[in-house]
Amino acid sequence: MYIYLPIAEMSVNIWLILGMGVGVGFLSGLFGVGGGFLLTPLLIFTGIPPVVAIATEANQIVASSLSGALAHFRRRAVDIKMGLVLLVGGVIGSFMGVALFNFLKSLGQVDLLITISYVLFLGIIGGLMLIESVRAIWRNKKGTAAPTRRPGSHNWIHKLPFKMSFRASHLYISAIPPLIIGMLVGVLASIMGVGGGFIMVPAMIYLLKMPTNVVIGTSLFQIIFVTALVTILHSGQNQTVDVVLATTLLFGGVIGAQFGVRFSQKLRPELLRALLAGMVMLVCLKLAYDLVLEPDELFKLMPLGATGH
Amino acid sequence: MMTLYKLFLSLCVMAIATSTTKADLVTDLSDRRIEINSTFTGASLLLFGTFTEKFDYDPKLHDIVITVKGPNKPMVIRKKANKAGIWINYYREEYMNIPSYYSVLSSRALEQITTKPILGKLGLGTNFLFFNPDVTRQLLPNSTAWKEFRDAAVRLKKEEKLYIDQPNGVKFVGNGLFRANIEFPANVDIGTYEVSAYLFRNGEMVFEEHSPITMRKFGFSNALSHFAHNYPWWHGILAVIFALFCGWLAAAVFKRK
Repeated sequence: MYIYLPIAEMSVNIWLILGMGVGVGFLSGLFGVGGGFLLTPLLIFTGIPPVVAIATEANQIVASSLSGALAHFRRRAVDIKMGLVLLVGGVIGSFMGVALFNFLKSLGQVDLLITISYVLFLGIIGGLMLIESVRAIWRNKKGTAAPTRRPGSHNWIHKLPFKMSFRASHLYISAIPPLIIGMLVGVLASIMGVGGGFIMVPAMIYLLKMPTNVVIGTSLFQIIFVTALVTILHSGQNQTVDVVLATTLLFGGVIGAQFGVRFSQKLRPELLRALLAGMVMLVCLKLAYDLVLEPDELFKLMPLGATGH
Repeated sequence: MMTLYKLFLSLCVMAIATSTTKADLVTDLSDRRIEINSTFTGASLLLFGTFTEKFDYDPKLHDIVITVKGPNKPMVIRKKANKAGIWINYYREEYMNIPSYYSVLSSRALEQITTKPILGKLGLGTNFLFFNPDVTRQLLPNSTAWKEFRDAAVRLKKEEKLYIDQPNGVKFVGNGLFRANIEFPANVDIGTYEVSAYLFRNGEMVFEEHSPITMRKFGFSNALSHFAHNYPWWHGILAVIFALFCGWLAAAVFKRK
């Protein structure tokens, strides 16, 4: 059965899109990740124009991050003040990201920007995760205990000015690091159509030293607002948000996530991480391969001054 | 379920011939307004015509060409080149206005009907259609590449079924009565289209006639697309509100379990 995507201007098999939503939803339930960084490349592989894929993903993440965040809100596992500082950075970053996006669009290079951003980020994240999880598996085989990670205090962060107290996180630190982290996430959201949790969560734990119980809730809090802003900016300036596509993906994703959460309790965590890392690397390699391989079609015809698809 | 909207002839113009000496052809369409539904895969339009009463029709001498042109759009065609190991959009040619849709139907192949200079002068057929390149904004690999870019633009349009060549698209059904079936794919632009009929006699164009048709879209998908393009900021805000509702709903449904 086919559905017509009014913004992507193409007919797609609804089962394929639902299946992708279920698959990535399953993975996000399994690994506790947002999944935007897998879903956007998959949409691009299906032939959805990259500009539509990222704007639509941002729209879908608004929904998935809210449904995830509600549970954390109920448990009050959110540092609202930290979330707001991250959000201010995120808003600045989103505007910067969309400006960069539109500039490269006018040069006809926005697809290249999206692909290269993905190759870089998937390569770095996937590579680091792969190394870390293979080491963990190795240690488990040898039966040695994992070295307890006690990161040393980052003195330079404590020397920065504009200190604020974040009660929920029991922190008294400068507002500059969270602002910059939030900004980076805003840029990534607007050019990659991702929530950016995969950058923000490690940064909050290892750089800001936030207690892990508030990290996920706080990052989801920021992601809701940043992806909402990115959705509005892309819709307003580029008209690339396809609500039909977003809703279909979301529907599949919600179902998939339920299975993922249940399944995750049956697998060893380091094995899970190795699997996810392998998958991330595969997507990264496919994108990189498409960049260096001579394309079948060298020409592309597009309306002047419009969305570029 | 895909539906093909076939619009059939409502009016067949038999020689009602007001027989002014000038008009050699009389044509009419099954519809002057085409309405496209969201779920459609395409529409087709039937054109019927005949020669006027006193016209001495000879199939060996006469040929008919029908063209349908969609609204003009400025377009850019880009060609990828390998720069530092990766394939990026590099060369480009801009066209100030090319028809978003162009269908040409004829009783024989255009090159058999008349000469290339005449086709070129009329801008008739996908090979001769006026493209108006903006030479101040082009970046081409060499001075003759414009032909390659133009051919690629036509080929890409043909792959989308937005440009159609039908060398046998005009069929004579006897007594000088002819018909042509014009196909429109799902992704046509809305707006005013121009239908043109040309009569050739011995390779000379002896009569032409132009008339407009209107392309409209309706249905949920088209309304959504219209809203997204005309009220893009409101569309973005509503998309966010809808997503928030969906997210809340998903959380509420699965909390109960």
